[in-house]
Amino acid sequence: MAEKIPHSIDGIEEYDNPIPRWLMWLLYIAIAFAIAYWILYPGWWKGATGWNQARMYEEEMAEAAVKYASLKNAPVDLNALVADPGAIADGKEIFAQNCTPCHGADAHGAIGPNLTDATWIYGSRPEEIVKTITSGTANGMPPWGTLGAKKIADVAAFVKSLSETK
Amino acid sequence: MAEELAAPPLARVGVLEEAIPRYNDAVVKKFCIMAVVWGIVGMLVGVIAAAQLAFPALNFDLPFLSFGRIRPLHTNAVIFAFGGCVLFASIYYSVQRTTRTRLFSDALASITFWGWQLIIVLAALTLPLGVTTGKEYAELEWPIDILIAIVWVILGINFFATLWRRREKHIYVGNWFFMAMIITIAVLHIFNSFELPVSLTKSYSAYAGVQDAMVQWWYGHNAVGFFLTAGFLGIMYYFLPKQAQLPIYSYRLSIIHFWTLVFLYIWAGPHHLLYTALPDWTQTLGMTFSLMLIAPSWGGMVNGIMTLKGAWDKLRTDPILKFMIVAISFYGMSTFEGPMMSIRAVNSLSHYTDWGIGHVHSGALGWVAMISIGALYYMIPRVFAKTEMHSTKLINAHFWLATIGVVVYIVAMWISGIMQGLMWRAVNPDGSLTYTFAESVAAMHPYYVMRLLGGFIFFTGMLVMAYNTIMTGRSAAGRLA
Repeated sequence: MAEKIPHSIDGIEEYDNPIPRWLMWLLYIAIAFAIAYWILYPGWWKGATGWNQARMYEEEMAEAAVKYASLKNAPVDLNALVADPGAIADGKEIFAQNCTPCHGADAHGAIGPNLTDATWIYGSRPEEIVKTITSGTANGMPPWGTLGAKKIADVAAFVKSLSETK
Repeated sequence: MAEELAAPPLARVGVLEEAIPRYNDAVVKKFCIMAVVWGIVGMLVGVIAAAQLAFPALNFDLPFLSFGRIRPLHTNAVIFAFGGCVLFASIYYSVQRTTRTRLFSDALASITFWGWQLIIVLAALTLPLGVTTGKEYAELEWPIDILIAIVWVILGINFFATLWRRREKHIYVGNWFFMAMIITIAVLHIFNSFELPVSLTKSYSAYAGVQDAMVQWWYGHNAVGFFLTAGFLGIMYYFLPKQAQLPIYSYRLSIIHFWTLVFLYIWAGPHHLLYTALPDWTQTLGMTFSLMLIAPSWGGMVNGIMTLKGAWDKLRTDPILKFMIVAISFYGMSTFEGPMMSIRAVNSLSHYTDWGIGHVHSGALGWVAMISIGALYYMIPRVFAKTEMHSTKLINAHFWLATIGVVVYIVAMWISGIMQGLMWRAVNPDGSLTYTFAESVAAMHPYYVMRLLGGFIFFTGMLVMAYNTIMTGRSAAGRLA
């Protein structure tokens, strides 16, 4: 043990031990890391990597657009899809994420109409349902064309299955 | 007042001085008792909030019992009511002894006690009624903000005046931390509370948009850094060597880690706003300063643990030391976890999940509450003029309840937090989200029940403490009169 500091405060004494070397190294490494990070990323200047939050978003969106483009706009056989349990299950997910705020979690209607009864305001044929979802309605339903043809068809299959089980 | 009492000839023998009744311990006693009371209240409200997350029907459709109002009540009660009373008690107890001077003013000390209790009661009334500024950890409305500022400045005057009149040449390290805390909290509280009142119970922040968010987290993170870290390091530096009766390991380390800690902490706030509208450069600043904080934070842990080096046998018999050493261990763990979570890539997974709640509680229960409880068990018998608590066995029982409770709590939140983060970002091959938000909520349920259990176990420990405190006070009652 090192020397004690020559004071005693309320009976408490203090050694003058050197600071553990690993702890000082931890501090130096963290400072070096911070400086390197400031050179590479936006901080004191725009950063050597050119990375920034807005560009990261744009790049990820561009990547996704390419990756999912074929899936999103692939031609779909509507009549086959409405009978496909897989499409109905997918449609249920998409419905839960996008449609429940207006149509309710159980599709019994809230802001938007009840989808589980036998009444079809804008037509019950698959093409008609797809058109309603894609373009929205005069009564205030927003257009959902951004979902892409495949997802819209899945939702149409799910919605159609609702009134048929009734 | 103090001049009338001659300095004791045995300046170096602290133990003897404690027997001389020249310190104001009456105010310490009041704060100790209220710390136990508010600890129980605050943690009970926490248990209720945890129960509501697992079983939402438990809000009974009553507005004042709803989670959104109960939650700020819990955080304010445990941080400012429980933690605040512990700080006041510890500061008043230790500053008198480390300066060998009675408090500058008994009247001012009394004002801080009653003022702080008034603030707590006002908080307990207004928050459930929905009176809030909506700023986290700064929810209280402007009239209460003004009261807080007044009481805090009075604490500062009393503390600094006592230091000024000290009869000890050197200012002890514990007091450095208290000084930093008192000054910084005053600045943070006052600047974050700039607001325009529109009625007695409603005001609007003086800042707008992203500036408001930045000021809020500059305040919010330094409430953690200076109130819950610097303040409680001050507690550690006094009560650990006193309880262990061992010298502090390294004076040099305390100097370096004190200055690096206070210099670096104040910049770390923006890590609460990564991937938001806050400019990239500000986010980088917050992240890098958080990372550089590891070593200064660990300085306190190393100094605490190394002080006990060679005296580990004391841990077998002394549950108060156990509380302190476990507190220091949790302090080390959460001050490593925090910087890791401030890294952009990690934060993109951990932010907004229960991982944050787990991290906060490993600091709040593991570090702050455990070191507080240790300090309270040290002070309570002394302010009741007793040599020890009514039951050492019950302290030991409390230790195990607290330790098991906090571990169960943190593990539950780690699992649920990481799971939440992974569920939110999971994507199907077609680019759609794999899980709906409601599915991630349902998946949390078992961990919310587990967290409720952990919190409840910790809470029962506080009841044991209350019983032990009452029994200690009772048996001392005759001797005080």
